Amino acid sequence: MLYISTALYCEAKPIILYFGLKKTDQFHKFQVFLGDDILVVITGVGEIAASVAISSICSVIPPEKGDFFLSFGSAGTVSKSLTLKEIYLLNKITQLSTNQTFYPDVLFRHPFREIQGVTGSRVLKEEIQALNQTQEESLFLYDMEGAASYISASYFFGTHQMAFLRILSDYGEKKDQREWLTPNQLTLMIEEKAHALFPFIEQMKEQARQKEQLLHTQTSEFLEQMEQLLCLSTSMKYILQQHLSYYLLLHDDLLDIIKWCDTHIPNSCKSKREGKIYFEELKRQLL
Amino acid sequence: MKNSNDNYYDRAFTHIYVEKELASGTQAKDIMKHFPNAKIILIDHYKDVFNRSGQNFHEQKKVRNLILANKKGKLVYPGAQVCQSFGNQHFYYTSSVMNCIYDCEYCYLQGMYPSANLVVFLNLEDMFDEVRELLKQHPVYLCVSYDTDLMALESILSYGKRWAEFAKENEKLTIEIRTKCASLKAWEDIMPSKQVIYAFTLSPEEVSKAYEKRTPSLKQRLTCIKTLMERDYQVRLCFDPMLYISDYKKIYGAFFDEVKKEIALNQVYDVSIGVFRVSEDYLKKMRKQNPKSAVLQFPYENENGVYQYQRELTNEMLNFAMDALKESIPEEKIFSWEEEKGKESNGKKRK
Ligand code: SF4
Repeated sequence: MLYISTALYCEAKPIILYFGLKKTDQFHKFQVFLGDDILVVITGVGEIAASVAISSICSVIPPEKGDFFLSFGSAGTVSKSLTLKEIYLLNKITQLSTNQTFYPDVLFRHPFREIQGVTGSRVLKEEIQALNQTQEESLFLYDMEGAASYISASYFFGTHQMAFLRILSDYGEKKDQREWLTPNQLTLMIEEKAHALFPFIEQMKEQARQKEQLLHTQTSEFLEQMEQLLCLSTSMKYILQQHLSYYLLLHDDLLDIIKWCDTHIPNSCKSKREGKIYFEELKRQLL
Repeated sequence: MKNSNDNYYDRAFTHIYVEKELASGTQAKDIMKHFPNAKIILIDHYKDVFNRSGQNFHEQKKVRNLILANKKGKLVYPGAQVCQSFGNQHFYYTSSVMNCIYDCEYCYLQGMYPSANLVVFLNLEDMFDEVRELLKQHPVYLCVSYDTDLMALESILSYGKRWAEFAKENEKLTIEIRTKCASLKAWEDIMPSKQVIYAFTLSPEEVSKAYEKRTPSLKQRLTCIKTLMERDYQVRLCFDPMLYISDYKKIYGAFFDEVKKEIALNQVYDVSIGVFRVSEDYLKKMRKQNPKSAVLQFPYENENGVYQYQRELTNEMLNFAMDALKESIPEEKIFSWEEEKGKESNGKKRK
């Protein structure tokens, strides 16, 4: 599953429509939209809101091993050399309040320009002074959720399973960061970038879909059966499980081994000692 | 995570993380020049990137990014507990680079490091200073390419050359550079020296293809070794780790025959043999990262914290290698990890 978080509904709207997501009433404090292998949560503005929403969602619908997280939204900048309405990928995120920096892995191909992000708790205009003092690099995007989203998501996702995209919406000159845009305009701005954004989301979704389950049902059943039949201790069961994992990497299934057991292992063992003898034989068969 | 979508991953070294204080230096700039399209990301300390929690070595290995840093603290470590000492009393190792551009499925670095990104330490001179101090006390046998493959990075770093030149200035220093690199170009600027041993790891082509991703083929390695020997470089052959694969006797038998046919074994510096083994802690991590690897999921036995093949199998494989080699090279020139482990009693891990 691909987990997407945005601060505002208008930022998520194009994604919700494109992927045909349906609102779920499972959550009351924030809006959540679900679809085929994709989930969107509208967190609200600011670090605390983002943290709470992401943590809640991931606790109620826990991500699986291969799942991905995408934080998407609008951001401002003080640098006029950056292009308005462009989507950027953050490869470094600094939290202004703590001066801590986070580095999401960028292992995937993507069509976006990369940049560092800075997260603060107030609108850009009010933070400009602090930014000028602390930021050595002049090129960065400013948002109010990035760092907190990273911190919260990293409880549930690996560094390679997170991506942070921001669309540049303003130069921080207005009183409110998003003042100069109505929600509709922001939605439209994102829609204009659909050609880059949606294929990227598709790609991440596809990535997240590839799950693996090494020890499937047949193995678990076999393991349980052998545990009883051969009076296996916990450590012997673990050893047998390792042998089975290895065997399954070289063979499609356990059918041959099950057949072998039918003819070589009795239906019950008289003692643990007898069980151990068969256990050793079974191990040899699995190598 | 298995991935059917090869297009998902980017090429190698698309991102270079550089410690701020090094970014404007010539050394960092020279390295960055090799990757004109890479994004440069300034960092305070390499550990901010390298030691992050939640990294996946296996996933990062598919891309591999570069970190340029200065190493602080102790730079040269006593090596006896870790690896084969080849009978050297004052055995040390140092890591001027952490991680490797190759991708061997059995590599212990997956269990040792939290990240697959390559860290290049630029303060080689500080390492030289520390070795000089040791040399004041006794001769030094130093392995400089354990946690990486320095020769494979020679075109970018020239560290092989710098270590060789450093050895030349210090006659009591012997250096081992372990490698799977087969590009003769890497040796172009390095003079042959009795003090520098190039230890080539060799595996049957079947093993190499299946488990040593991105490494040169056996044929390429043999050709490179042959040429280097003709040019008077010191060559050690490492048949280590041998892997237990089906038909291993047939495959390794043919492999030893091919090596003997191509290389005059009586002229190599020495030979080492060993089977796959790895510390308990490392294997646990390696298995978690790569659950689909048959090499890692093999049900090894835990002997004093070291996972290895069952004793009989280990002996059988080592004897097999010994028998195949001993007619071509005197036995005292064949070093077996098992024997050495007996001497050291706490062998822990090997590449
Ligand atoms: S085993 Fe050696 S060559 Fe292979 S990846 Fe590890 S360090 Fe590199």
